[in-house]
Amino acid sequence: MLKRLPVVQDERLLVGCSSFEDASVFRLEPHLGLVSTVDVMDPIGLDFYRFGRVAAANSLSDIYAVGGRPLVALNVASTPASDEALENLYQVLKGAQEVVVEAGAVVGGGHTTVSEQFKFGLAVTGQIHPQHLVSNGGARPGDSLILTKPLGAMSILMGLQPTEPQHEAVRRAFVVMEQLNRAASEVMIAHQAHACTDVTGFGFLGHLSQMMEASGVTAHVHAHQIPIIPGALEHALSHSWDRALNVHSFEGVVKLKGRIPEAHLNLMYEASISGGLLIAVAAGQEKEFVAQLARRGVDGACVGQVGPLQAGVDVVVQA
Amino acid sequence: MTLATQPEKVAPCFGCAGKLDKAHLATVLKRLPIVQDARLVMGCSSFEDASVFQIEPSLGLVSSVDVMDPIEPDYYRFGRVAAANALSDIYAVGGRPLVVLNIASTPASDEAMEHLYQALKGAQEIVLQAGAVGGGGHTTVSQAFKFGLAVSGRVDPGKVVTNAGARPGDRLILTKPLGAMSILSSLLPEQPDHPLVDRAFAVMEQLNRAASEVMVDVGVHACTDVTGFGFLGHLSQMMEVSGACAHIGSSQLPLLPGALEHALVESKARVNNRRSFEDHVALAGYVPPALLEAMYEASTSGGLLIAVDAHQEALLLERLEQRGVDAACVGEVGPLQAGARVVVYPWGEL
Repeated sequence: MLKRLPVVQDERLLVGCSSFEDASVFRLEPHLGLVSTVDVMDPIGLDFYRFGRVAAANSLSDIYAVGGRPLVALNVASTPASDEALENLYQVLKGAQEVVVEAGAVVGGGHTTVSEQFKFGLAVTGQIHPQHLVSNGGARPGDSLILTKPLGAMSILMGLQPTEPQHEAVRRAFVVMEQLNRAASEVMIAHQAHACTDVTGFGFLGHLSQMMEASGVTAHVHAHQIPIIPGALEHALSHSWDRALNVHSFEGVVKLKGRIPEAHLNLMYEASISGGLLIAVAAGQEKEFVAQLARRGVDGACVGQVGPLQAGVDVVVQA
Repeated sequence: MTLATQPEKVAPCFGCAGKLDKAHLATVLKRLPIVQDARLVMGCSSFEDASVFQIEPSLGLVSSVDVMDPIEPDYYRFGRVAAANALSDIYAVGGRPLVVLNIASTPASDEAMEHLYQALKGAQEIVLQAGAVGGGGHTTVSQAFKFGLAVSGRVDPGKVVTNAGARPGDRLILTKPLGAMSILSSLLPEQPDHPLVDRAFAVMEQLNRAASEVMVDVGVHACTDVTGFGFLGHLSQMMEVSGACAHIGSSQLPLLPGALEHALVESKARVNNRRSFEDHVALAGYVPPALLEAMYEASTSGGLLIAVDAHQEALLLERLEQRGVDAACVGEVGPLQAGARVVVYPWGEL
């Protein structure tokens, strides 16, 4: 549908929505770019306070993924007008505000509409030096691929949260989703990474595939090197509509080598919320990069390498 | 003047009328911890239209977001209105819009996708007219179709026009006529080709860009834009934060032709506005009900409401006219008054 819209060229728009980017970047001044993004979500589970925290971390992540610094967040909510829904809205706004403040940004207001369905998200604006912009199109053959958060939060939420909301794995899943990608982004800028995206709705393989396509290269990832939240594999086999959609969209450009356990593959395809950054760094930098991440409290891992373009293949997954 | 009443007819929840009302929102926002940040030149605490964040000494980032219920069945014109409405928040503080992001929720049906396309196409045209650029957006699947825009722009932090600067003696200028939403609510469902419908859309599609540029150029004391809380709601808020009282001449209000005939169509948003603000509005005599209702009507993409020094009034109006803006002086600002933020005078008085 977006294809039918007239194409508007504007040289001030350094990054637009044309190439699967996470955020748009507009040149305000030669030294100053404006980064903008918006994300709106359905509630996850019954804990609206934590949902607010996750929604904020998720929206802010788009700014971090291009190497920007968030400045102002605006809340975007739709809610029924019932007392219960307004209490939920309060919990969400409270959680979101905490995470926005943790990001060094401010809540500048927002907009709430009345609707039968509760939805919440944030529009975030930040700044970036145009020369420090990290796109998803810069990965080069030889680069190492770093993932800064483990996979599996959604499987845990779907499989465990409804019946065992107090389960340790549920708690861990929320901690992962609430974690800001701020430190990961700062380490990435310091290392002059070649490319970055964040892992969200299209899943690890979907976003990796888009990054490879935009870069004109092919990724080789090792299934056993991919970090996974403890408890996720046990819940990765139930059906998920989002994952089915991702499999449908990307399985044509993902090649499997060897026998990959179904649960592993499911986690790689599953839609993430507030996932980690997926970063391409120059060959040989991966050890130092992961060590730097660890020093900042980020549990990152090298998950594979970038190779030259293989026609029709964006990602090769090795057992 | 005919004052036809159509109490049996309930207006659909168009445009800004779908906004959560002030009292409900206040109960939620009051409980949130207050975060102070010196970089936030203007926040959401005082009913402002947009927030202003200081990036550099001479560079402020102005941000705003608005999401609306569709104005069925014309989704293309709805997109144009939604864009003009969202951009207006930037213009109301004297800013210049730069980047917009579309925010949509829509059912996944083919019909809804066509509606979304029409809305995006209309919005894109208006964004270009504003000299801004579309930077992408976000769409979620939902039973109800909603559409809006998040807008970022720039403003000189020293030249931000707030809603809090109105002073006794100022003149109050309104840059668009009232009544568009009443006309649409009443006529659009059954007479979409009625000339008044086209007229109402045209008013709402008009950008507040020229009005804002003139306002910044001439220099004014305060400004807000007239949207969901209606003319009296937004005026009342402006007076509250300015610590003053407005005196409005009911015969001076610019009205769209047909506005009064359709002003009594039942509307939940208008009832909410009346409930939220009528304690602060005093009538200095008989004001026709239809006229009063038009002042309470939830507007979508309404005009700027400007407080300007009495000596600058003529210059402001002349410059607005030169730019094609059909503005009118609707009253003046007086000192703070116990019991009222707005006094509305009968036809022909004031």
